[in-house]
Amino acid sequence: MFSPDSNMKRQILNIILLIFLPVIGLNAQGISFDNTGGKIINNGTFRVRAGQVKSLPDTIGGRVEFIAICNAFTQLIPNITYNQLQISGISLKVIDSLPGTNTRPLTTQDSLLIRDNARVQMFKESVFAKGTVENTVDVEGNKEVRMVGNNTQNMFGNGKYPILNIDNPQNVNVIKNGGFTVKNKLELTRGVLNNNTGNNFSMADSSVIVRHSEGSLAEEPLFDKNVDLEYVGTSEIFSGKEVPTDTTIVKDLWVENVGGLTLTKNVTVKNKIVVSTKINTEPDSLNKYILTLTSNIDPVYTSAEAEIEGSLRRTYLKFDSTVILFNNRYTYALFANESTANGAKELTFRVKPRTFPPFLNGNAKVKRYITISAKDSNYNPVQFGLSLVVGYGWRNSTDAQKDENNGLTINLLKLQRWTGADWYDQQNDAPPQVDVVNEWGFNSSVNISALGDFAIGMPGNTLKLVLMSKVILEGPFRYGSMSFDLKQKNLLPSTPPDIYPYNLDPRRPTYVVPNFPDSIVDWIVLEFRNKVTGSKSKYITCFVKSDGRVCGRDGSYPINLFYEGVDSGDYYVAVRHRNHLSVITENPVHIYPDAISQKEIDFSRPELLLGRENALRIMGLNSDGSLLFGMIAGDINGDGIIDDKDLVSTWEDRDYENEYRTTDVSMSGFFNTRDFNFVWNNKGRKTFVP
Amino acid sequence: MKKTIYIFCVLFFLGIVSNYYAFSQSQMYATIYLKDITLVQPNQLEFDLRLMRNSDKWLYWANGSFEVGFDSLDYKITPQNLSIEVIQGTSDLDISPITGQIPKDNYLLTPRIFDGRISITVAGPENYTNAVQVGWDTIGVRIARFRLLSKDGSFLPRKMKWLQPYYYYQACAFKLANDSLIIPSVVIHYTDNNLEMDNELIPRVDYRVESNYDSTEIINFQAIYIGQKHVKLLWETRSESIVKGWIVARA
Repeated sequence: MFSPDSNMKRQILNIILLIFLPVIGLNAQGISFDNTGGKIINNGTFRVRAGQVKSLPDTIGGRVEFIAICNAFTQLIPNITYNQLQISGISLKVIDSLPGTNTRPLTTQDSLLIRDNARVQMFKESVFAKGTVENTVDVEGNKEVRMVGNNTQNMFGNGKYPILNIDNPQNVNVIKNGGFTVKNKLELTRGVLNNNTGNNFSMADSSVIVRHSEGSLAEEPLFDKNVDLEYVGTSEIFSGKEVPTDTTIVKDLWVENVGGLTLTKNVTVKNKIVVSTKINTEPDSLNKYILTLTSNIDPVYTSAEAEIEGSLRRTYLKFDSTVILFNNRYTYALFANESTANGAKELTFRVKPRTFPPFLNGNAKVKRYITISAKDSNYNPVQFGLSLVVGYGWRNSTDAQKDENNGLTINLLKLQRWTGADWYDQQNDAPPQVDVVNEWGFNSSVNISALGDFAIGMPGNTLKLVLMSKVILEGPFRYGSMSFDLKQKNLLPSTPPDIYPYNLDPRRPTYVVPNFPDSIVDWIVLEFRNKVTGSKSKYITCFVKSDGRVCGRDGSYPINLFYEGVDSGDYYVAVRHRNHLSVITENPVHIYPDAISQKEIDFSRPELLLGRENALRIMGLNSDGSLLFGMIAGDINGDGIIDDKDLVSTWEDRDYENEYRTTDVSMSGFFNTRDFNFVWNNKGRKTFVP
Repeated sequence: MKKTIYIFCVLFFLGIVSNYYAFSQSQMYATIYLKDITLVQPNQLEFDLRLMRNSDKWLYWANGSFEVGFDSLDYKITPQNLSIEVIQGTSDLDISPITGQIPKDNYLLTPRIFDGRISITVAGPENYTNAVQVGWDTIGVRIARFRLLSKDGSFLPRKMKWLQPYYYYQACAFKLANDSLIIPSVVIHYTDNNLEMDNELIPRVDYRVESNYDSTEIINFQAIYIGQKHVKLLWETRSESIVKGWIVARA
């Protein structure tokens, strides 16, 4: 600062410098320029060729050039405010504060020119550029070059910045073909970084773009292999050009801004998602995007409020009974093993908070719904035949703006699947729980076998999961129907005996039927398998009636699978009887609580069965002239093959009367050669049930 | 005129009956007789079990289960008071001893006594080539002659009967000599299958007890007062068997 009261000598020196320094180079290796206590008014070019400056005023006008060219020499570039600053020359240039001065950014008012073969380090101080920045060198360091002009700024040059911060509401333009690279971090604090395809820049591998609420990019930069995206600020951000089109680029996604991130395109993250607020994948009713996470790392929700509203797709599924977290802390999928996924290789949860399900009676549900979908390795949908656990949560808050409970009784709420016609309660769920501190209600539903739209609502749906099936047993079949002699003679045991196949059903001892329904032929067992082999079976011990219908122990037809503990799914269904060869469907049967599945499984139709015609025996002709088939009689010991052992057993039991024994193949209550002949005629036949 | 109409009606009725009889006979595959029932001793009864073929639907007999009893309410059949055996040399079947529990090439007769019934179960050979051919004649095949013995010395009833319902108590199967087609090219039964002759709806086996001609049956008994405190007793029998005389007791 010039003052008439200042030392006369300094005034004279300054005048001399003003006149002569533009043409003078400072060449000394030691301190070349000491302006301690002085003031410099520079309208020309102040060029520091070598040596150090010991002291400079806070602000210096004109142009200052640090151009030392000695390779072994380190030149300090003081953190003052320059008008124009050029840094060039091969000597190492370190941006730092002069001894005894304050730590502050180096500021350039008009332009910052980093040129030629300069070596520049920014480990000590950042650079605030208010004007144009040209950089053609690789700037080292961990401090930022921050574009903080009051007017639109320009950037160009093919240099590299460790950190570039765009903090100019008047925007920053990339000009002259751009070409620079951001090595570590691009921070979009305020304003638009106006790049375009002709004037672009690059993000180095493993760099990060930090986008604030008021900052943005005009065009997608050139990305290397990985980039992290971080959103911060005080308001909602719509995703922009910082998101690579290439779905293999984004490594981590951090969303910390108040108001969250709203996607305007599909985003794929290959490592980690951290959400402190929310991500909304659906900016409006017409545009629904998907956030994809391809790693096995669960999303991190750093607060109870954090959530992904919309679709989160996960392509790395674990099949080891561990949680695969989805849209919030409470929403997850869990597969016990790979077979329970039925080929699904990816899962997508679409969660719509504060939204009633858009289906029948949707406004009587919790104000949130979930859509779950899956695809196999060929990207074909997998909707049925799974068996997964789904965790789900909803806001149960005293804050009416947040609360989704809709006044419903929490401990009665169930996950319900929309079947296309009505809601179906998922079965066997424990009562929901409440996270009082964080104001969430949550629960999990086991054995989700069908995907689709789910609501959380009060039970009491009218849909039933039923199985209509029909089977004919050769033994008791006599001209059009099966006899029910055993029932008429009171020979049927009220509890299925502890013999094959009834002892396959672990609940067998609990079954007590004091009064048998009409026309009951015998006890049979239905077996439900997820796979033909290798899956755990579920069994239902029930009855076959004289007309072939398979009914429940109370005589109800069709059988209500819900009460039998069998959930919906795609099952291979087998029929087992104590003295007939078992049969099993060749393909999975679609058993779901909707109209489509209300078809009768006719086990007398060989085309439905594994082994086809060989799995059954021709019994005669139907009225339409077609062949009538029935299950093959004579497997007395239940070993799946009819052989001499069965013959001998039947022969040994001849002459019994009015007893319930497996050797009564005709199920008449009498044991004679008629039973023996069934076995004889079928000797050598085997079951096709693996 | 009346007489003519009457004769016509009688002939018409007889025609219906005879046709029905012929029809019902044509439905029958076989007749099985309890025949030649003879009370050899008061505690010993013998009878034939004979099979006759009534149809060309079959030729080879496979096996059967026959349950019979006494046509008497007073006699209770139990294993404790009755035994049964095959009379040696009376069977038209090859019933030579077998190895194992069920026969392969011949027949096995297993007469047994159970509470309330006499059971005769016959297992047959595996292949029709070893099965007995049953002629379509009035002779048929004698399965065997059996002897019933009272173990406790009590008198045996003379009348026998087949236990009913036939479908449950009786079984009689023939053996197929050729595959049987249900529709062209579709086999429903295979050679050597044992096919039951009758079923619950359509009986095809006629179970008969040939009249017990060898029993003693009184068909008329009269007591006539002839004066002088004398009564003349007259009785008439249809048949008499092992009768040495009569003892008349006043009731």
